[in-house]
Amino acid sequence: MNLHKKAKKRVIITQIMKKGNLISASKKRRQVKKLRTSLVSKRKRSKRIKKKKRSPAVQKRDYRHSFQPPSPAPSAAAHPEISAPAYKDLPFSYNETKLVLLLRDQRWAYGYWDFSTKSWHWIEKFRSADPGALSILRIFNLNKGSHFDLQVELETRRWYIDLGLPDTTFEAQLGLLDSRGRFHLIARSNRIHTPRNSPSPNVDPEWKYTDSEFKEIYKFSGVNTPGRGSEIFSQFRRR
Amino acid sequence: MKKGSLLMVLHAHLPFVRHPEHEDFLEERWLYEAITDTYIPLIHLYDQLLAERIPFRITMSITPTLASMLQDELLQTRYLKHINRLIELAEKEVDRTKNDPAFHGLAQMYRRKFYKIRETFERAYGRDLTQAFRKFQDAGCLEIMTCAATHGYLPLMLPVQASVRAQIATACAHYEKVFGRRPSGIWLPECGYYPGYDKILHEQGIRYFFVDAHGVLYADPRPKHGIYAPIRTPAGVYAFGRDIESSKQVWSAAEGYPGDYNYREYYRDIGFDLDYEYIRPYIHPDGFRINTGIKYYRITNKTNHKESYQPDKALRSASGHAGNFMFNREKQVEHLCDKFGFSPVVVAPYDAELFGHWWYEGPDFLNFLIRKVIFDSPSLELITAPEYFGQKSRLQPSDPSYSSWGYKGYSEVWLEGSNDWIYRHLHHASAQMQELARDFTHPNEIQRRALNQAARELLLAESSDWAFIMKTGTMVAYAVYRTREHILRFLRLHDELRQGKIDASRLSEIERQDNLFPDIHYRIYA
Repeated sequence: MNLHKKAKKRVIITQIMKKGNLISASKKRRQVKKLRTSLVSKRKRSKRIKKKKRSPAVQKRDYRHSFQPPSPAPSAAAHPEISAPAYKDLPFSYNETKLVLLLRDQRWAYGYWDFSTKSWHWIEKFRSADPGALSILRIFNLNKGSHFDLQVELETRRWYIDLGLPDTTFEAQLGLLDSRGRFHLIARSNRIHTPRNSPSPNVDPEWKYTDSEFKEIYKFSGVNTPGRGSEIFSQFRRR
Repeated sequence: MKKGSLLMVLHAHLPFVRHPEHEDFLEERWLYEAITDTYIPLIHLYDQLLAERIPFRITMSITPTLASMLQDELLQTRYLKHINRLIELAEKEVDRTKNDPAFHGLAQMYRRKFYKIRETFERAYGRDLTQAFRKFQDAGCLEIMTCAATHGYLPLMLPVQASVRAQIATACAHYEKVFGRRPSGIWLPECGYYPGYDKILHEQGIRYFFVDAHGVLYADPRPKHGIYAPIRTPAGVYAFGRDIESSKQVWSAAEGYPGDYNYREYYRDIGFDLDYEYIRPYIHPDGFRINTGIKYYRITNKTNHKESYQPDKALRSASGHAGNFMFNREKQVEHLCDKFGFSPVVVAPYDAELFGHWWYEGPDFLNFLIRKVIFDSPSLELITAPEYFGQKSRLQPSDPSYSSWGYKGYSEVWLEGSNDWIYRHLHHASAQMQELARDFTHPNEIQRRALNQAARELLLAESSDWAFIMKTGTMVAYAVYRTREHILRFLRLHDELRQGKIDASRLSEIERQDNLFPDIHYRIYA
């Protein structure tokens, strides 16, 4: 139950993140409340659908982030055929199947992906043959050898991902999970490593120090306020 | 040797904005304003200190895009036109305010200042201000660093590191041409660092760079001296950490020095205050009001009521702030040195354009600070990184952490809802550029030109300024236009190269427009 609640909170935060806004704490609370209400009703709705459509194998899985993103559902024309370039608009697609992860900060990554026409046709064929198939971003924690799944909309072609763990190497795979619970790979990402969020536990024996020395020097250095100066800096530039 | 050192860093940067296709282009004014408000006032300051034989030590980064613009003939000619118009306006202002004692002295002050600036620009340095900075470097007072070629934000280039290498290699080659020697240090754009990039810096002969405080504090293993000593990265480059306290005292709009009530108010410009018909010839040709650079008010208070600017009072504030800044740094170094027995270095980096442009009295503050530290301080000395290395025999090995000096300390400013769409295009272009560089080993003349121009277009698209502007929400259309345009130019050149049909006249046209880095070699992407 606790895990379920945590997952739900993550979903809510992800939805707020996707709006791409920096918002005040009170506004955030209001948004969280609003989203929570809408999510509960969505969840009830989706449960009813799941019961009707999905096989027991899929229902057993714990999709930690299983939700519909707030953006409107993309139309069938969202991935048009690649046409000859006119060099007036940036291409919608580079006709290349790939998945890329970028590290935004200590816990969030941004993933984007693209498909070749051939891959897209394969996906469409797969989904029409297995309507219960889910589009999955599978996030691998390479330090622990574990993974978790995010259900995504392939058509959005981008996702903010709460990795949640500092000092860890991650990799992602984009794929389809069929009704029998088997994962079919579409693209594999590059690797990223989240930074540490505290001083390193490692001490060089040649550069030893006392506890009080460490505490004081690090306090002076601003260890508890990373980015504090930076906030002030950006505040000034916004004046 | 004194108890501790102060390493003052000014990061001078503007994105490459040059539009020969337009007679007058609004965004080109960023350069003209920075020359008038910051670069020439800094040159005046350094010249004065040098004339008095004051052994000052300042570190400055002059980005390759800025240096390219400062050396560009078209922009030099346009700047001269700009300063001439300002002089004309100042003359009119002296006449208009002759019966107004509160403003007449100020109008005369601006007139004097603009004439002196023109003299420095045109006669003293023959329109090429990079040579002024080179002179101070050759005199041993100014340490000039390079920066990534177009100020590309490096941590978000991680998937195609050929772009990181090209940004650094192009910058170093350009620096050598402008300043006559290889760069020793680099200012990483937005202090953006990702572990492993030190190898690329080392390959180019870079000895040191700067990161934000947490880049050093979270380094591995723990740096014994925190941010008060640089660390030696695995590739053998030195990383200095930013001192948060020094930054806060200067940067903060609310509690920092620039908010002092005696200082000049940036947001009250005669371009907006005066009668429309009178000011019309000096604002934008399309008729909308813009800043002229002539401002008569001081900050006064937090309300909209403003009183006239009084330069003598402002100077007193600048002197007081310099004294306060030095006092705080002295306390920092005395405490650390007395208690822990090492000589700390305090790194205080700022955007150069803060001094003079946003904070009008900034150059005066620097003037007072330099003199006070050199003549009055028993415990503090000004230093540059190479001098620091000369004094220290050994520095702690440690691997800096991923970090930037942007909001929240990482990449959120350049990667969020407004600008995340650019990366799929930038990465695609980077990968394609790398393939082109590997495939075209023996190009003919026109292919070589097209390949070099494709590299220029990619570099220009990568400027972190566009993502930053998209995020801040002002001039967004221009930032989107620039990103799109450079990527589209790249894609077209790529296709033409692959198809063996290069449009020579179009290539000449974009070579004329995006003309920076004339000596670039596309093979840096191979």
